[in-house]
Amino acid sequence: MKPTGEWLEWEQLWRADRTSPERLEELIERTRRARRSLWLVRRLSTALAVVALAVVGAALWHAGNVFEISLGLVVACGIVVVWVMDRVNQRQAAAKVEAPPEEYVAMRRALCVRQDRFARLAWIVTALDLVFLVPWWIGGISVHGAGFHLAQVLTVWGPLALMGGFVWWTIRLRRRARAELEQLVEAA
Amino acid sequence: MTNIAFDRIVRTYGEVLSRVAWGYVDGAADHDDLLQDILVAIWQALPRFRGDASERTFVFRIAHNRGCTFAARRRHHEPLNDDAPIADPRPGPDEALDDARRRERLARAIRTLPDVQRQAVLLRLEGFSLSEIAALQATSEANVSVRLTRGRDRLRELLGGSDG
Repeated sequence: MKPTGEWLEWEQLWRADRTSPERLEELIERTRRARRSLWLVRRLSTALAVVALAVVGAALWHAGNVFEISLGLVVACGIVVVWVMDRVNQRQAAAKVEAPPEEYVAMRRALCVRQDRFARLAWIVTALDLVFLVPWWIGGISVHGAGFHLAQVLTVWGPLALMGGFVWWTIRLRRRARAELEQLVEAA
Repeated sequence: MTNIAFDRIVRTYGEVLSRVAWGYVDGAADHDDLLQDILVAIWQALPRFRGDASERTFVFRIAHNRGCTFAARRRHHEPLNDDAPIADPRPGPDEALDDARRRERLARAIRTLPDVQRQAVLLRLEGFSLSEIAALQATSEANVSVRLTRGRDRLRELLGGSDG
């Protein structure tokens, strides 16, 4: 297809934007760093799930009745389900990226819906986690006193901070998924 | 092996991918983020590349797919009035046009196109043939022609004919 008229002019104008070889090498290096960060984030999400399970396990150790034990087990299962869902979503996000536009859009729609559900499930599990842990924390503080000593940081303040960070991340994820879904619906 | 193939792809297509990214985002920071996102996606998808399509098709599909997703998630499109032509950056009628500013004006106009039209136009500007664009979009050449004609008319309208 030989370009003519305005196509030719636009083509020349567009292609005049050049990238230096140094910039390309910089891009390769930046991508290497991004890949390392991605790897680290995945390991961190697994570590976060393990820490969450460990805290629930520690609380289960002190559970006083069948209700508390049942709630603790539900929360533990919820954490595992949320972690698995996150892994599946991550894998799905990377899949079909080389597919034709229609197929890719269908995959993105499905992923956005799943991310929305994932965020809501994550909030439910976090709320249940709090319902389960708060009585344990109150009991612990009344016995050992309030403070920032290592045991309390590991069992109370650390998990609280992690939960806060996790909820903030899911809010952001859901907002982006909904924005994308809206755009996809508008474009359809 | 993947690393070698990836480095070669960046050296071969990096420049074009950088231009394609301008078709989806407007700021330098977003441009860099999108470009990196595209390159990471290419690296992740490379082990799945079996040569069913050409390498160029593979790379460009990823670039456009990620571009659409990135733009939709960031929602950083300029709030352009759909019918308003994009202001000509010429400081005065007798002064020479600055290429970079004209290119930015063209990119802004391209960013207002619907996704499939935008993809077709960007590929056309990169010298892809009708059949290559059709293969990449998994559609017929007749469809691509329609998309290109509509895209051109829209660009003409937005650029007010001064770039055409």
